[in-house]
Amino acid sequence: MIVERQNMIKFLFFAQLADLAERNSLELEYQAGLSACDYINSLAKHLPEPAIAMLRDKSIAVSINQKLASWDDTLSDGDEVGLLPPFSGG
Amino acid sequence: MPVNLEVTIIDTDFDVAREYQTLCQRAPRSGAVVFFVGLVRDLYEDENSSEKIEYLELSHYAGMTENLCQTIIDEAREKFPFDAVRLIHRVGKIYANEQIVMVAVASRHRDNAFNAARYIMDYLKTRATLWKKEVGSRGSQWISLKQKDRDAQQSWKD
Repeated sequence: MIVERQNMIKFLFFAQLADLAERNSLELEYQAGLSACDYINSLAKHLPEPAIAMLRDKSIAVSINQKLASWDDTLSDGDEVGLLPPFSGG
Repeated sequence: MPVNLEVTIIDTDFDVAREYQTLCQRAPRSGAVVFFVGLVRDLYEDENSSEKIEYLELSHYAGMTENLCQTIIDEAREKFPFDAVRLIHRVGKIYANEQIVMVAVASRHRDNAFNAARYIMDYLKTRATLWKKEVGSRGSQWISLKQKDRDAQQSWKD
């Protein structure tokens, strides 16, 4: 099977984080061996300061391809990373 | 892909009477049916003023929310076996006094229906990718999870 290399990571922003980021998604170039945490500095170049402050304050959870994950999990090419503020459904 | 009979996330209202009929048809041997319906309150939590909430704006992570809800339901089924279940959560703009969420469980006897419905609601609030923004006379603000909701989830582990 031929796996198409996309060479990018897609970050999704939700709720208050999307408001602060002033966007719902952002694609960054994939770099082998990096975790979501390693991408924060790259994200910071594209986002307003309040969004970055929220990302750094550890209240944001992470999903990788729609499964809850750790900030320290290594990402793979083409991954979709959800940046999730504390939930408030129901 | 087959239609999911158990979990639906929708941006329109739902009909409880019709859901009741459908659930009973899916669980002909059940002797107990428990429904919980959550409504949007129009008063702020502190209730000490005449200020009113106009509506909630619900956002979610499409796909992931359904999967997380299904996981919670499957856990409830394991702990409190039941015959049929239905979970509906609305997203988008939901005005005060409108329905926002429904959990319905049919089982042979009432204990499992009550327990499963409560388990699903308690975990739904803490583990599903849903977010509420409150809009009213105090402006608009994202709501954080309340301590009593954390306590409710924790109580299942004690």
